[in-house]
Amino acid sequence: MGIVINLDVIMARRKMSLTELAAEVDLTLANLSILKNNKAKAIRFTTLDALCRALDCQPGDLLEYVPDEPLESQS
Amino acid sequence: MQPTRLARLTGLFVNFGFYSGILICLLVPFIIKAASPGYEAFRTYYWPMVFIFMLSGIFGVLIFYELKKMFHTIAARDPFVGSNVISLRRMGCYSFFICVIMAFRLFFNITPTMFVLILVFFIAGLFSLVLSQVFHQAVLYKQENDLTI
Repeated sequence: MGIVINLDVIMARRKMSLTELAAEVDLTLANLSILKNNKAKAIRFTTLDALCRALDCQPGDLLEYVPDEPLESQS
Repeated sequence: MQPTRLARLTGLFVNFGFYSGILICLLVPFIIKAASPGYEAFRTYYWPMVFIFMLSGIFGVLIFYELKKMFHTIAARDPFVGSNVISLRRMGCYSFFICVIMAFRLFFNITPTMFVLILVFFIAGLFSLVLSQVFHQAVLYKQENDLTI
């Protein structure tokens, strides 16, 4: 899995919609959706800063490392 | 955004090349017949020559078709897309096919121009394949850039 973004979890905790967050962090809805659905390849420090500020959280609350399943357990 | 004068001119040239190429391809038997009094090879090997010129003409038209497709993406200011990588790869292959067809013509008559044509199409094919690799890298970079939020 690698790095997972828990944006939806934090947003639900803060009771904030995607539109509200997009307006607050000055990102487009499309880009925020890419981020929320874990489709993003990278995240800028400025975006992370804006998200943490808007959601009043730490980068560690937004980002989580989920190790890949080993091949043996997959088979 | 308005296309530049150079882009408009290139677009016109590509369209002209495509449609005139189709016309010339269809007229190959008549052109060779008309030119045969001046060229002995055309008289002696009429049908092989018609076949060779028509086949290489078809590949030439296909190259123009791929250029036409590529030009639409360039005019839309989005040239780094996967379809252009495929188009460049196809154009490279078509150039190599023309190269082989021209080499086949050497069995019927050998002229210095033939060697020049073979070399030109061989280099064009190589250039197109290298360019497709460059475009492929550019597409990857663009995708990464687009997905950096």
